[in-house]
Amino acid sequence: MDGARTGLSEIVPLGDEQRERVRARLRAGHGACPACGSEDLGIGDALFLGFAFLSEPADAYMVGLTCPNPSCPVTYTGIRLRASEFLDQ
Amino acid sequence: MDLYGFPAWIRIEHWINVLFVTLLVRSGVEIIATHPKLYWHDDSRPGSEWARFTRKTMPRDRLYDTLDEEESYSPLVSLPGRRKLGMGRHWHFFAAILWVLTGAVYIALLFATGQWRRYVPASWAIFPQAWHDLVTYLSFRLPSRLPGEPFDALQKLAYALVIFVLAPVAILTGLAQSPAVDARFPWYLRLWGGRQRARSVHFLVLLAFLAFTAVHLLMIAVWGWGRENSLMLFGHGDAPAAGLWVSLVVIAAIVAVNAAVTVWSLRRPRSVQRVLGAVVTAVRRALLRPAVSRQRYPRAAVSARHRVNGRPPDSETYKIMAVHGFAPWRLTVGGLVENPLVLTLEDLRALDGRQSQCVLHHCIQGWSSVGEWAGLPLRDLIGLVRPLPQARYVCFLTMQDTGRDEPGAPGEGHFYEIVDLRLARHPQALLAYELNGGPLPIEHGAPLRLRLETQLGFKMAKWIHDIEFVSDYRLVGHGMGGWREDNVYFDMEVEI
Ligand SMILES: [Zn+2]
Repeated sequence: MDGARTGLSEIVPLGDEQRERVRARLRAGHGACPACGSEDLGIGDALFLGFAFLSEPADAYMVGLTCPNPSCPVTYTGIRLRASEFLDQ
Repeated sequence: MDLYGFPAWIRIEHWINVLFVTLLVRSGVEIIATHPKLYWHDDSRPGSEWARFTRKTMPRDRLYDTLDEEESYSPLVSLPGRRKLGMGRHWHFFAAILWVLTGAVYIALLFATGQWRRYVPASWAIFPQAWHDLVTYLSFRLPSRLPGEPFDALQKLAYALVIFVLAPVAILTGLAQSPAVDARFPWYLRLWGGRQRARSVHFLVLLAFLAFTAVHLLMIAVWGWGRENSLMLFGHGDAPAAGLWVSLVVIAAIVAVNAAVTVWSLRRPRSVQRVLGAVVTAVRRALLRPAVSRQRYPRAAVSARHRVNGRPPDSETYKIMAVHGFAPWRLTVGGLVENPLVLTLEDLRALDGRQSQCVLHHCIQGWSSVGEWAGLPLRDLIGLVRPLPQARYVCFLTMQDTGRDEPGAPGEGHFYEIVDLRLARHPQALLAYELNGGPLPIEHGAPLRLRLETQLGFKMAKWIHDIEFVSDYRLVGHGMGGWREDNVYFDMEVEI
């Protein structure tokens, strides 16, 4: 991916189709906000983890999730996914 | 008849010089082991080295840092060996200070006594003569000495080269690697063509010293070890047997000193750090501490790929912060201040006074890169929080957990570094949140890192989340002024 190629772990912006795949993943798992239980989490960008972080597999990403509930104590969370689970092959 | 002879001060200086040169060479090898590559260009681009003393290869698909490139050499060739850069630096600077003082006294006495004539040629005729002497040596015969002088023409030229060219170039290229010198006098660094050229020339001078020493020893053996050592020990050549034995005793003593300081450094590094550090710090404070950075590199000088050191925080919290552009990150500023603060990255960016600086990064290992950093001047933050009168130091706490993030590093705990308030008020002391026009990359310390342009890179803490004003650095960690000072025995003030 971009991150690996440039040698930097930059943010990868996601397209609609990729967000849909992330949403499907969320529905399949425990897709609710861990703090308040809201279900309609906003899906942000992805961060390539495989380059800069020792403990991560080479194809690991973190996708940003934002809780829509204004009174939620933990607005920002994320879901860890493999490239094949949400990116185009 | 030799008009010059070997007065006592020449003999004493000679043997002291031998001791210091052995310490300088071995500690220098320790320092180069930490980044065993030499470059001509200041970006130290991986693969662009003209010489390398390592077989390690670095991965292409994973972040590696320059700590991964370090080599561990044997204590037989380096002081103290076994990848102890902190110790190597203490010995190199301590020996350098004493060697420079010895050299200054030597040069002063050479000129005060007229002995300079033994080295400085009186006419150009010495060059054809030296060539003739070389041919004579190569045909396995000994040339005749210059009339009334202790040396033949070739020897005289060789000594002149070592004393008046190699030694000064070694000192000047050593200084050209100091971040404080380079930051205060950018023209001086340009004179050498950059830090990497200076470092490369420094190394070539080492090779020249080693070559000189080898030929010097060979010549003494050829001209008569006992007689020559009798001259250098007793001032006359009449006691070759005593010259032989006493020279062996002196050489054994020099080896013993080298062995002793090696063992001391490997077994009691903290004690070496304190004792030698006190001497080196005193000199450094007097000469280099007053330097203030005046660097302003052109944009065109920015390195395509700025090298990195240290690994980012490998925690869930950090990764979630990063994927959200560090929106959840908070900077707390507290300790001995009137007005403690909690700031978001947006708050920091919104503060007036954003400053950018295009500068040369000096790593303690020897590499360098050029980058344009932008952020909030530290003095502005100091103005906002208003330190109490008893606050004297600023402690930068980071999200890097060394035990987790740097498994190869000796030591554990969260990385931190401490600087005094005076340094924190330098015009180019910066809390950087941008590099080369973009957000600060994770590898370079996102979301916030420190820039101190008269210091070495390790002081410039990355991944900062907390800034504390304290009265005494000795109350934090192991009390040496930072994580690297605590765990790898670096000096707290690193103007060189
Ligand atoms: Zn929530």
